Amino acid sequence: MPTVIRSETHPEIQKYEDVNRDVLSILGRPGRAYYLLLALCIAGVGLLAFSFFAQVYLGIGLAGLMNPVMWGVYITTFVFWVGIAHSGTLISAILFLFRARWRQSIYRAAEAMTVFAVMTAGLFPIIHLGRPQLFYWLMPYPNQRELWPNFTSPLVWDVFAISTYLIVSATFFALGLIPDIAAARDATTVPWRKRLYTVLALGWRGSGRQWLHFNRAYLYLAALATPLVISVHSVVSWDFAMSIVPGWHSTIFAPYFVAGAIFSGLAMVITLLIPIRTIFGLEAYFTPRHFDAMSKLVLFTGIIVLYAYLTELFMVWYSGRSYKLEGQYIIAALTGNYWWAGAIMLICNAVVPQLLWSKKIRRNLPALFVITIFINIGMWFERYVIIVASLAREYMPWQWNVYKPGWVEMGILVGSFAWFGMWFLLFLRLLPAVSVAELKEVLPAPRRWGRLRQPSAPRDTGIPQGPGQRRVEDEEEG
Amino acid sequence: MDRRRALRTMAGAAAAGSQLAAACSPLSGATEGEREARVLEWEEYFKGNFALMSDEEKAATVRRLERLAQLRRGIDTHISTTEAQPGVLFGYAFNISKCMGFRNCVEACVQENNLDRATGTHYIRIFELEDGVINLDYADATFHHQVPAQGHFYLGTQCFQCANPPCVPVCPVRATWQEPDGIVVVDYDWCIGCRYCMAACPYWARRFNWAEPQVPGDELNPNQHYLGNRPRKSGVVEKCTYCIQRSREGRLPACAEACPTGARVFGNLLDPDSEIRWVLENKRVFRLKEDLYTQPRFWYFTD
Repeated sequence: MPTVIRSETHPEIQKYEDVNRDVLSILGRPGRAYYLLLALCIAGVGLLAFSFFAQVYLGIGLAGLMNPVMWGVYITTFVFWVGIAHSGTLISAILFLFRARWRQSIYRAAEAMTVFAVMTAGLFPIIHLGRPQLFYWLMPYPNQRELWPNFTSPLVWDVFAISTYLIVSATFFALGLIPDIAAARDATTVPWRKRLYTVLALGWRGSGRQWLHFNRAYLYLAALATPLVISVHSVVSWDFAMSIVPGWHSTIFAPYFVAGAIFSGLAMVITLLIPIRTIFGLEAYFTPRHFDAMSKLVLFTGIIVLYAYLTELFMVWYSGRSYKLEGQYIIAALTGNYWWAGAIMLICNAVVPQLLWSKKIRRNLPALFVITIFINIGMWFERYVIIVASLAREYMPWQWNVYKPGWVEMGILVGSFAWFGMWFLLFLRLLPAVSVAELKEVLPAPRRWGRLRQPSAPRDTGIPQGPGQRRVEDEEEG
Repeated sequence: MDRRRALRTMAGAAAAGSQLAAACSPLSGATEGEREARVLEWEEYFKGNFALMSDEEKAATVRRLERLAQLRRGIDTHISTTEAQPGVLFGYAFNISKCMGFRNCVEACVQENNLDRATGTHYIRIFELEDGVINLDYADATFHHQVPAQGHFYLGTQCFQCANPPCVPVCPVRATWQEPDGIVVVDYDWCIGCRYCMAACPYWARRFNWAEPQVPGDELNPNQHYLGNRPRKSGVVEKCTYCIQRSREGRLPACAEACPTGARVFGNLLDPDSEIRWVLENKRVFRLKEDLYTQPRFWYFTD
C-alpha cells in the first residue's frame, strides 16, 4: 500500500505542476463572456461618471439629499465599501499571523477585493462634497495656504484612515504578488504581459537571499496591516459616534462597525469566490472546507452584530427616553418612515445568517451564495438606516423629513459596483488570482519516490513532514 | 525615422498642441471684461483662509470681489472686513410673550443677507406652539393663517452662536470658527461642502447651497461683510451671523430691527448697561436643549 503525502489544508491538490497549470491558465485568453462582463462594468463606470458630472454641473441638489438628511446614499455606500474591504486584510494578514494555512489559496482574491473596495470607497467622500474639486484640501500637506486640516474633525481622521489603509493594503498586495508575478513573467509569451510582469516582479530571481528578505517583509507588513483591520472601521464609526446626533452618539459604534465590516466583507469574499471557483475550475483550491471556515466567521461576526442591535434596543428601554425625540436609530428604523429598510436590515443580518449554524448549509455553495448576497444587501441597508433614519429624526421634530435618493445617487451606487467589478475582472486576467508560491508551501514537496510504487510499507525515516502536511494511507491509489 | 522627419513631426506636434491649448484656454474669445473677471477668479482661487490673511491680503481679496461684482453683476458693492471689537460679546434674547408670528424678521433677514430666493432659504424659523407648554413635537413653522392665532404662542429659532458650538470642531478644513465676539462664521471660499457641521448642529441652524443661489440683481444688498452676507457659491454652507455686517458697525441685526413687537433683544453681554443684560438679570430665561451642553448665546424669556 503506497503512501501519498497530502496537504492537510488542500488535500485535492497533489503536485506543484497542477498549481502552476491551474493558476496560470486563468491568465490565458479570456472568453466572450468575460469581455461582455467587462464591457458591462465599463458601461457602469460610464454611468457613474455621467451621474457625477451631472451633479457637479447642475449642483448637488440633483441628489435626493435635503434638509435635514445631509448625508445619504453616498456616505452609506462609502461605509459599505470600507466595510467590504476589511475581510481581505483579515484573511491575508491576521490569518497569516495565526498560521491558518487554509488561507493560502483564497487570500489573494480576498486581498485584491480589499484594495479595489478601498479604491471604490475612496471615491464617495469626494462625490459627496459640495465642491468636489477641492477634496485635496483635506490632505495634510504644507500648502501655500499655510493651513493644516482640522485635526479635531473625525472626517480628517477618516482621510488618514482610508489613505493609510489603501497604501498598506496595496503594498501588501503587491509584495505578496512578487514571486507569482515572476513565475508568470517566465511563463508568458505575450510581449506586453512580459513587460508588465517584468516591472511588477521587481527583478525577482528566486534566490535564497531574496526569499529571506521577502518572507521578512511579508511578515512585517502583515503585522503592520493587522491593527488596521480594527482601527480603520473604528475611525469610520467615529464619524458618527463623535457627533451628538441621536442614533449616532453611541459608544458601541466602534466594535459594532468592525464586526459588521468583517461580517459583510467575508460575505463578499464568499460571493466572489463561488463563481470564480466554478468558472475557472478551481474546485480543488476553494474547497467546501474553506467556505465552511469562512461561514463560521460570518456567523460569529453576525452574532456580534445581532448583539449590537439588541444592545441598542436595551439602551432605549433602559434609559427610558422618549423614542420620538431621542430615539435610538433602531426604534426609528423599526417604526418610522424607514421601517422597510429596518426590516430588510433585520431579516438579512439577524435572521438569514442563523442558517449558517447548519453544517450542511455551510458546505452547500449555491445556498451560501444566496445567503451572502442577502447579507451584503442587509449590511448596505444597515448603514442606510443608521445614517438616514438618524438624521431624518434629529432634535427638532418640525424638520423631520423623508429622504428619497435621487437618480444620480442611484446611478453612482450602481456605478460603484461596476467600478469595483471592472478592477476585479482586470485583476483576474492580469494577475495570478491564487497565490502559487504560498500554496506550494503547504503542498508536499515533489520527490521521486512519490511517483513510484513502493514495493513495501514506506520507511518512516527520511521523510520530512513539514507543517501542514500529513501522511495518509490512500487505498484508492493502492 | 531619420532625424529630419523626427524633427518635423515634433515641430508639427508642438504647433498643433499650442493651437489646442490656445483653443482650450479660459481666455480665448472673451471680451475685455470677461477676460478680467476670469483672471480675477483665478487669483481668488489661490487666496488663503480669511483667518490667516494679513491686512494687505484682505484688502486685495476685497478689491477683487468688489470688482468681480461690478463685472459680473454690474453692481457696486462694499465688502467690509471689520474685526471683532474688544470688549464685545454678542447675545440675543427672544421674548416669547411678545412675538406674534408676523415674520417680518424672516423677510428682513432674507433681504439683508442675500439669501437664495430660488429655494426659499431662511435663517429664521418662527414656530407656532400651543399655549401652556413648550412642546416642539407639535411646533409648526409653515403656518399660513392670520396671526396671532388663538391659544398659540410663537418661538423663533436661528443660529444660537453657541459658546460650545458642536459645528466648529467637526469642520475638516477649518472653514468655520468662532470669532472673539461670539459669532460663529463661515469662510465661504474655504468650505468644501461636506455638510458635517449641518449634521452636527442639533438646532438645524445651518443652510446649504444645493445650487447656485439666486438673488435678483436689484435686490442684492450691497452692504456686505466678508464673513457675512456676501454672495455665496454653490455647494457651500452658510448660516446666521447676527448680521455681522451690521452688528460690528454698531447696528442691530436686521431681524431685531424689523420686529414690530419688540420681541427681539440684541446687545453686548459684556456691557452691564445693555438691554440684554437687563433681560438676563431680571427675567426668567431659558435656552433650547441645554442638556446638550452647547451653551447657546440666545435666550428665551417671558414678560
